Formats: sequence, C-alpha cells, structure tokens
Amino acid sequence: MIDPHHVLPPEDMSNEAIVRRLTEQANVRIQNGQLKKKKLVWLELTGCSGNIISLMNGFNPNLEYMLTLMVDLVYSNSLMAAEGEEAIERLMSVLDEEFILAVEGAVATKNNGLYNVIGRWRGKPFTALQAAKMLGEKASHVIAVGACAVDGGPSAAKPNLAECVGLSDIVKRPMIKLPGCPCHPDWFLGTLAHLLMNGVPELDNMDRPLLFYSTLIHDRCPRRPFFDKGIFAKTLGEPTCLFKLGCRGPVTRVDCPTRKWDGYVNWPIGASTCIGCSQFGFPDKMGPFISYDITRE
Amino acid sequence: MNENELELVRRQIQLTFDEIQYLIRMLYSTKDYHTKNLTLNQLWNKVSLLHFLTNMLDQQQISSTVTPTLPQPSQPAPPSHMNQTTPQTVPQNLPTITREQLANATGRNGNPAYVAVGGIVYDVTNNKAWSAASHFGLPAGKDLTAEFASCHAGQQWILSTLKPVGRLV
Amino acid sequence: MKKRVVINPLTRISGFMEIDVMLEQNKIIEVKTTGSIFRGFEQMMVGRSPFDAIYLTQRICGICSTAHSVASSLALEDALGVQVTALGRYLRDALHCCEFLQNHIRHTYQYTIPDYVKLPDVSSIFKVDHGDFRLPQKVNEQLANHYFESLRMSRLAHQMLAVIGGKAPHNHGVFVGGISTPPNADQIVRMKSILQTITAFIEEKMVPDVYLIAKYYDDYFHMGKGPGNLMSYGAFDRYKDLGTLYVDPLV
Ligand code: HEM
Ligand code: SF4
Repeated sequence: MIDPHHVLPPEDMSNEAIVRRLTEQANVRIQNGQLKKKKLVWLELTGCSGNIISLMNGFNPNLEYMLTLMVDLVYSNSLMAAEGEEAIERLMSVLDEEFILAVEGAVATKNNGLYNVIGRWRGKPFTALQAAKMLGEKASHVIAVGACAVDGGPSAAKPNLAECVGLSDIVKRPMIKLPGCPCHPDWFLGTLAHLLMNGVPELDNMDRPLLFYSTLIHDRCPRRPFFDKGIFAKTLGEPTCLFKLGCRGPVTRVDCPTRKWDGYVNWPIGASTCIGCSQFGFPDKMGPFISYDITRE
Repeated sequence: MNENELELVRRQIQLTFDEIQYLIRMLYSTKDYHTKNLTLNQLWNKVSLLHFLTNMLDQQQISSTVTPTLPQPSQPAPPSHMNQTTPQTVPQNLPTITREQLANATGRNGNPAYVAVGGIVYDVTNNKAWSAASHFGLPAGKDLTAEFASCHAGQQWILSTLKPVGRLV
Repeated sequence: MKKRVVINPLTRISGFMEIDVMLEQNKIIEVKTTGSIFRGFEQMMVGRSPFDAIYLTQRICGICSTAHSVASSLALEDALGVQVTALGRYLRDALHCCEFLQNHIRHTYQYTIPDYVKLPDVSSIFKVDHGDFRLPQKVNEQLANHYFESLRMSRLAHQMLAVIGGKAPHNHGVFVGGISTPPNADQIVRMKSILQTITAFIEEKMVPDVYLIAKYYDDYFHMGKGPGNLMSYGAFDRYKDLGTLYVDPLV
C-alpha cells in the first residue's frame, strides 16, 4: 500500500489524487476489518447550514462515499429522515458510544442560548449552547467546521446581537479547526480520512491541519506576477492583481488557488477579491471586501 | 559602498530618469486605456526605484553601512536573529509628520496609507498585508503602536520590512 | 379533548424550525411555526462598507446564498442609481438560475423524498421509526436510486454556478451591475455542457418522480390547504427581448 505521506512523482500529485489516495486507504482498512465505521454526528448550530451544503458538493470523495464507506452518520439536521423527538433521541443515544463530532455554526450564548434552539428534548427547548456542551465533552474527536464554528464567523459579526462565540469558547478541549466560509468539502473529508486512518493530522498553532492551511493564497495566486510588477486592477473584471480593491489573499493561509472549488473549476479570485473567509476574524477583520476609494499606486 | 558602487547607483538614477521621460511621452501618445494604465504602473515602479536609489545615497552620507532591504518573508516564523526586540535601525534624517498629516494618509481616494508604530511613520500603501489600506480591521492613518504590540509581540522584524517615511510629532 | 403535537427539530430544512399543532377531535385547530435562530443580519449591515453586503448577506443561508447576493446587489443598484445592461442582467440571472437548480434538486430529493421513500440501510440517518410509506417496493427502489443520483446533479448545478461565480455556496460572482468578471467562451460552453446533463435528469427522472409520488399520495392534495394568499417579487421577469421567463411580481 502506498503511504500517502511519502508519495513521489510519477504518482499523480494532483489534489484529487491525494484525497483519493487517503480515502482509498481508509476504505481498504474498513473492508478488511482493521477499522470499524466510526459514528459521526454533524451538528448544525448558529449559522447558515452551508457547510453541509458544501459537503454535498464534494466530488472526490463525495457525500455518498462518506455516508456509505467512511463513517456512520447518526445525526444531521439537513439530511436525516427522522424528525422531532425521534431525531433528538437518536442524538442522545450516541452519548454512550464513541463518536466523532463535527460542528458547523457558532454558539449563540445570549439568554442562555435561546437565540438558537435546535430541537426539543423532554418537552424543553434544546439550545445550541446545551448541545455544544453536552456532545462536545463526550466526543472522541471534535472538528469545528467553517468560520462560525471556529471563531464565531459571520454569525458573530458586529453587533453580534445573539452573542455568538466559536465552539472552542464553550467546549474547552483540543479540537481540529477547519475555518472557511463555507469549509471546502475536501478540507473536511481529507481531515476525516486522516483522523480515521492516522489519527489527528498535524496542526498549526491555531489548530488548523497543515495539510490544507499552510500556504498564503497570495504566494500561489495566478495574479501574483501583476502584484510583483505593481499592476493593479481598478475595477473587478480586470485580469490583474486585485490588491487595491481589498483582496485578502495576502493574509489568508489556505490552498484555494491550487485546489479550487466545486469540482475544481474555479475559485473566488477567479471572479472577484478574496475576502479572507478562511482567516480568523472573518468577516469583521477582513473588511472592506471590496473598496473603490483606493490608495495611490 | 565604495566609489565604484556609488558611481553605479548614480548611473542607475540617470537611466531611470531617462526611462521616466520616455514613459511620459508614451502616455501622451497613446489613447488605449489599458496601455495607459500599464504605462502609469510602470511609471510608478520607476518612481519607487528612484526613491529607493536616492534613499540609498542619503544613507550613504550618514553612515557607511547599508542595511540591505530584505525580501519580505512570507512565512510567519522569522529567523531567530531577526526576533530581537530592540528597535530596528531607521534612517536618522526622516522628515517630521504631524498627527494631522498622518490622519490624512488613510489610503483612501488616492492618498498614501501610513501607519505609525513607536513614533515612526511607515508607508504601507503597497504592503501586501494592507490591501485596501486596512489590516485585520485596522484602518491606515493612525498611530497603531498599542495594536502592534498586542498583535505582533516579539515580531519586531515586521517593522524592518516596512518603509519608514517620517517621525510622528 | 385537545391534543398538542410539537415537532422540533423539523429536519430536512436549511435552518431551524418548530411546528406546534393543536388538535381537537383529529382536526387541527391551531398551528404555530417558529423559526428558532436569530443572528440579526440587518443590524450587521449598519456601518459596514456597502459593497460588503453582497458577500456578507449570503451567509444568511447556505442553500440559497446566491439569492441574497442578488437581492443585495439590486438594493445597491437602487441606492446608487445604477442602470444594469440587459447582458448584465442575463448573466447575473443565469448565475442565480444555477442556484435555483441546485436548490430545487436538493429540496426535492434530500429534503422531501425521505418522507415518502424508504432509503437503504447504509447509514443511520436514513432510519425512521414511523412514516406513511405507500410506494410499492420496485418504485421505492427506483426513487432511492434517484436520491443518490440527484446528489451528483445538485453538485453539478453548483459547479455550473462556480464556473462564473468562483465558488458555491457563497459566490463571488454577483455584483452591482451584473457580475464581477465577464465570462469567456470556454466558461460559457462548460456551463452549457453541464446544463445539458442536469436538464436530462430533471426531465427524465425528477419530474416523473414527483408525479409518481403524487399518484400514490393524492389525498395529500386536500389536506392542510392554506388561505391561498401568495405574493411574488418576480424572478427572471420582464426582459426586453425575452419577456418574462419565470414569474412577474404579483399578489
Ligand atoms: C489587530 C491587530 C493585528 C492583527 C490581529 C494582526 C494580524 C496579522 C497576521 C495574522 C499576520 C500574518 C498573516 C500571515 O502571513 O499568515 C499579519 C502580518 C502582518 N502584519 Fe499584522 N496584525 C495586527 C496589527 C498590525 C499592525 C498595527 C501593523 C502595522 C505595522 C501590522 C503589520 C503587519 C505586516 C506588515 C504583516 C506582514 C508580515 C509579513 O511580511 O509576512 N499588523 N498580521
Ligand atoms: S489577487 Fe490577491 S492573492 Fe492574488 S496576487 Fe493580488 S493580492 Fe495577492
């Protein structure tokens, strides 16, 4: 078997190939019984439920593959057939077992969490805050998926009326953080595959897997030669560097330029500025996203 | 720098002037929007180069050691010898910049983007981390000494990658 | 005897909702629905750079993000007095249509079908303890297969969006005046090719599937009818050359 960490050309080194190798390996081990399908709980908390939509956009591996071959998904507000009490019972039943917890969305803390009720349990509202605490403490691994779960993200944008915070402010324990708005399906599925096969991937000082979050967008950007020559776009749609318009590529570390999105066809800077959605402090600290009263050159 | 090198710099300056004149003539003769833009950008590059070269000469007159301008490190981990907390050597003959002037250098509407840290005003107009003249929610045109200290403690090297343009008074 | 039924979470929607029903002699006498999430996006816009609204409002909802960017850009055009060219409108609406396709396919299969179709026992999320399943086994099997096939289709719809929108959800393409970067021939033909695959799926599978379910559940047409007051702001409407392709604004 190929060790995914030590693959050299002429093996295919594309992003797709790397993710495929990782997942294929996991699959082999599941089939020969080395691995048992772990349970996965996907909690949607205070956010747009867009990370699960993004997960459905995964090409290789895709959602079907994850559902059938990687993990046993027990709870997902967007996908599960059960509803109401039955759904919440399912959620509670995993507490006695080993499970991986993936959380998208921030945690609304105002009024004891009542700004986001995710269900009803024993006749009482079950808040995002309660869910985060309860499941976060019991899970074998916790993955914070998307900007909101990592540090509050858009849900915590000023003036933050719901008093949203990131998951790590509520659940004090080691966790893997996958910022991005939304999180790229490969970032999640690649991390999950790594977790299943080789344990927690190597993380940077902000708990992000180095596998995906290590290189500045700006250092891999196809518009970079224009930056170096000082040729800047004055409006969107010009093919030159978007720096003057507010591009946050120079402060954002993630592999968008080489990975690309939605079946690897395009990426934000292919259309407009990078808004730093994978950098902490998004969106407040990444504004203005697009600005026309620009500096002199 | 020895005499030879000095001569080289002077020749370079002369050459740049010639190029600038050429570019200006070019600007007059073209009507195409994109060529114009391109020429303007090149002009700006040349002016930066001039700025750099004249600065180099200035420094030469003050002290005979020249601190080489380092390429901006893009990895967050700086080499340890750059991690010192003593202030970097900044040119002595910087012009003074008032708080009012600083407040105008917001980087908006064609103004340059300046920020002050520890009494020195730096030009961040074309610094990669300051797109749209803002950096992690901080606008240019301000004294950001406290913010720098809280966000970049122990990363004094960052300042040495910036271009000092004046002393805040 | 009154009886109260509360359903929360109402799963298979994008967001959070509670349904609170009061029954008397098997007749519904009162219903309350509650959206149980509040973030306050209106207040977030205050004091922000206006163009940021196009990208930030998308974060309201993951499945319909493009709609919010379109709405924001329309509002900004109104405020700035920008006249959009016909081409700008077509391009932006084409992008919006991709979101519609994605949304409708996922709504039909991922959000609705599990109420009528028993899904295979491959994952715990497909388990239900009760339900009103009436489809014969063969039909059920066919629709369950389409459930998985549809995942590919909705994915392609988002891919089509990303070709000019940069990424999806939360695109970077919609902007004041139309879209941010004009597409080239390569991108247009790529979108057209994807569209062909999706169209075939919708015409050959999705639409017939909906009719099939309707046949087995025809009594549902007479249950829970609302007052019938509907309102539309219009979409893909009143083009200069093509007229209205979808709906005009009406009440
Ligand atoms: C709110 C306070 C601040 C925060 C949170 C912050 C955060 C950051 C971060 C995270 C980076 C690294 C980006 C990366 O390469 O991954 C960075 C780089 C940088 N920061 Fe700040 N910063 C702050 C204040 C300042 C101030 C006041 C200055 C003014 C001089 C400044 C100047 C820079 C520069 C020049 C870089 C680029 C360094 C390089 O060349 O790699 N920062 N900042
Ligand atoms: S477009 Fe953005 S990321 Fe690309 S070179 Fe310019 S500033 Fe850097």
